[in-house]
Amino acid sequence: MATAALVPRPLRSALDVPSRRVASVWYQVSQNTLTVFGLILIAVVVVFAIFAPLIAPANPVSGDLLNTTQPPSSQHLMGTDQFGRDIFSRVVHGARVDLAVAGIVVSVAFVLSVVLGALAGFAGRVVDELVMRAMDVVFSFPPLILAIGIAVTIQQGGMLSLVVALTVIAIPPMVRITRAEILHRKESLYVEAARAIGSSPLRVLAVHLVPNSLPPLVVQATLTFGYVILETAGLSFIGVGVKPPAPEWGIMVSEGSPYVRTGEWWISLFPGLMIFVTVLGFNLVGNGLLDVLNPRRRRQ
Amino acid sequence: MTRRRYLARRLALLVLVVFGISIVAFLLVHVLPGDPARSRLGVFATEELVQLKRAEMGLDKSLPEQYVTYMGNVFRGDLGDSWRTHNPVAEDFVERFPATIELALAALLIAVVLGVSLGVAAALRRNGPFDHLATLLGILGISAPVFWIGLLLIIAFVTQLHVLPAPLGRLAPDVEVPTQITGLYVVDSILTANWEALRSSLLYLVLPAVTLGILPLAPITRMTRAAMIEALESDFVRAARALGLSRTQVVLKIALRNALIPVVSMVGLQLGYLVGGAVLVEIVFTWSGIGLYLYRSVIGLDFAPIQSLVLIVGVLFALINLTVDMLYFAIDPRIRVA
Repeated sequence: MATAALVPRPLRSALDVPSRRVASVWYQVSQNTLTVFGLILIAVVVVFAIFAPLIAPANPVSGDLLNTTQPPSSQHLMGTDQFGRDIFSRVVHGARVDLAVAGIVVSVAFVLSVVLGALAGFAGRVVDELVMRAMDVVFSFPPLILAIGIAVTIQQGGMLSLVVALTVIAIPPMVRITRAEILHRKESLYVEAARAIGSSPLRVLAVHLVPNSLPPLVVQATLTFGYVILETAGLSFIGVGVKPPAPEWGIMVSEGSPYVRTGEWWISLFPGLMIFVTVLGFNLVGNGLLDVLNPRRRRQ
Repeated sequence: MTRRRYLARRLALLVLVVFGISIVAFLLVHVLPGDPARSRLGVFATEELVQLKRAEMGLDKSLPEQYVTYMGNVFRGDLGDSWRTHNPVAEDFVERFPATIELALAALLIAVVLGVSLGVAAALRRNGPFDHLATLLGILGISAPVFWIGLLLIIAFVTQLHVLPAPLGRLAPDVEVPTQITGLYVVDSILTANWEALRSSLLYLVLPAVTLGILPLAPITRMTRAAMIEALESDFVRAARALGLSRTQVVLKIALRNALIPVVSMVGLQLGYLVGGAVLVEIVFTWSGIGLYLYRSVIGLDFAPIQSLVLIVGVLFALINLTVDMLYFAIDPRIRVA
């Protein structure tokens, strides 16, 4: 950053190629302890997801009916549940389910939001009104209630209904951010320059406007990732998300909740802890990125 | 933008939003892949019977026609019947609504008292212990699943320490329900001077209220902190100091009063989100409000209550948002754009 200030303006934009930018963001992120901690948390969960069959000592869906509701021990690190399934194994495999759902939701929401937001910001007028009022309608529902409604409506879809419901509630904030970025950059000099040399509107949009609008969207996507995991667990807890016996964290907490009242705390505690740790990771990284990409928010 | 134009625009948006919500609620049942008539009669019903049922339920008409019928019924207060409780949904709803209101208000009260105090303490000494506590609580509030926090509190206070009753309802089974005035047990038992019911209802209310209160606590704290910092650095606070007012007077009477404006609007907005969180908290604590009702309807595939709740909560949420925006517009003259 310090050297960039010394470089004359025309050269600076040439130097500001994406790889350099990523490297600079990476450097700043690595300076923040909390953000690094968040990255480590995410890394652990991702490792769980990728190597689940290698890490988990037992089968996550079939249990030993002679060993039900056993407290944590050296044999079962996190104890066993009401079907005698090893909770640690289920927690590890659960990383696959929850990360997969959140990954799909955030990717789909990201792409759709860029398209809708760019359309609204660039086309303006009628298109803008249509898109943004539609977002207002979605935004005016309490998210969980809307998600329950959608998930119930297309319940035959199983996992699909969950993904659709969560995508719908993830889109409005991202569309607003994209639109605001596009509107703000539409008037900038480099867009004017691109127009002046005869670039088509589509090229201006795809090559100049959209790529430059991405950073705040990446922050939002990171925060959304954590939020979606939370909502996935919540919907599964209610019974409209992932269905048992899949090792999903929300289901596991839900299945353990009657046992909590009788003193068997470990069945719900550990899967809930995994949700917390994972979401915490994404929130810490999201906040760290926000500080780096938006200098106004940086703390002195 | 003038006040009148802003009002007109905002009201037009409200109409649009309510229309959208009604469409979503309507479609919820009417585009179901299954046949509601058949699912009501069972797989062994003859095709003839199903056709009759379809006609009776109005399912043989076109979608717009069905929508008009549906909205007509809604405006007459007819939200359909729950086939799980065999009651009209409107009746079930009225019966359970006070429980949710009681829970949400208690949660909001806890969040406001704690959040504002913590926000002020954090603003007074930035990077001090209270500031770190506020940051920590903020991160916890948005990262931990609310139903899990509820279970943790049950583990701690019910099954380990044995200081609070098991999370089964709103009142101990041997205590008589206070005479209904508002439907809020705490308020009713105070109004009827029923101290036994008051004690019991408070014991049952504290854990679910704290659990639900964690959701709005983080944003309220953050907002208070930011607004207080801004107020403390403002000219009017400097002027008050120069006039020789004591520190307590400056902080509480001058800075806090001005800082509370954005906090109030934040509290209003949180009310809507509390309804979503209330569903999860009510399940954990078997709190018999609309959240538990919704949950049981979802589990029992009882569509009329689900549809009505989406409609009612959606419209309520939109109205709250509108009220908050209006208040904000009235209070703060700086908001005159978009």
